[in-house]
Amino acid sequence: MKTDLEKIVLDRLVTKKDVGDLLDTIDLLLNTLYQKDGDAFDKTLSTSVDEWFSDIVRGLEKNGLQKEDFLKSIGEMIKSLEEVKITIHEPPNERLKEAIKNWIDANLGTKVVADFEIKKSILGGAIISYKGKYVDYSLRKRLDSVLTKMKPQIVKSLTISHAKL
Amino acid sequence: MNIEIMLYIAAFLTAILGLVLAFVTLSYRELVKKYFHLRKENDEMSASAKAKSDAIIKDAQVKALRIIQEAELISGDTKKVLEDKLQSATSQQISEFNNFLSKAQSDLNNVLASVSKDITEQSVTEIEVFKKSLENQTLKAQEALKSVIGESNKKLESEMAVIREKRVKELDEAIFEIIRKVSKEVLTSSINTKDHEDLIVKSLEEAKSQGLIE
Repeated sequence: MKTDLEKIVLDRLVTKKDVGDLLDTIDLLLNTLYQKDGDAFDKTLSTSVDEWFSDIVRGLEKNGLQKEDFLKSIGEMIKSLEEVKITIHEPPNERLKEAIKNWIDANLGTKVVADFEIKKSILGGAIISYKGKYVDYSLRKRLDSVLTKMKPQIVKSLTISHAKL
Repeated sequence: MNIEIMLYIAAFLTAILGLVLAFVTLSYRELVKKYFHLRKENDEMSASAKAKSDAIIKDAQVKALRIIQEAELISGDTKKVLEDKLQSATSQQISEFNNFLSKAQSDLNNVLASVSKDITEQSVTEIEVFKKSLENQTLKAQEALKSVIGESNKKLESEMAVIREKRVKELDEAIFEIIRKVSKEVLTSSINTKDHEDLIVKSLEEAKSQGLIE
């Protein structure tokens, strides 16, 4: 059961930001657990937590799981998630996030999330960095490479234009 | 710098011209002085000759009158003959004197003409010499100037060629950068969102296929 819940949580986590938000949520919930006000936890669960996670937490007791243990173990699990840094030229929409998530799950496993960095200057494509390895598949690099190869021809045609002038 | 050299040469030539003109003027002045001196001498000679001839004639007349007076007994006809002869002698003296004066005048005119001709010839010769010298100097200066200008032009052309090449290179680089910029803008605007997404996923695929992600 716990494994199923972990799988559900992992399915929800696509980006590094998602991981950060969930960790903040877990910290918040753990803090409310130790408060004198017994309703604080439930209040927080209702008002400050995403519905999908609050449903999971609410169903813990039914499944025989302790809230504190679950929250702590989920927290530890998601802290150990690896990141693949993907630099793209504009913020990803939901469709792109899903596509990348599917690819990561299929190729790298479920314990990897994407860390998106936005840089308009790359024009398109992506720059990928994972476990210390780095590769540039941006459109900017491809364009620069093509233009550099074509530069002698371009300069030659410019020289002819100068001569005609 | 070249203009300065031209100015120096022009000033130098002008100075030389001035000096030669001054020399010619002084020479001419000397000759004219000589002319007037000769003329003065001639006038003096004429006056002296005239005075002497007058004195001689007067003396002769006095002697003649004395002789006539001493010979009062001589008859009237004889007296008349003597007077006629005296008159004739006087006329002859006067005529000879006039001839002498004419000759002296003619000689003087010849001398003056000769002097004037000498002055003219000498001036013309000197002017010709100066003219030739000036022409030579001018030609030399022109040659020197041509050479200086030619070298300057060569240097200038060489520098211009270097500058032109540099400018063309800068221009080519600038144009290439514009092409790069425009290409980027065209590329960005011609790709839609779906294509961008596909490119990103493709990049992940490529990274995996090259063993960079595993």
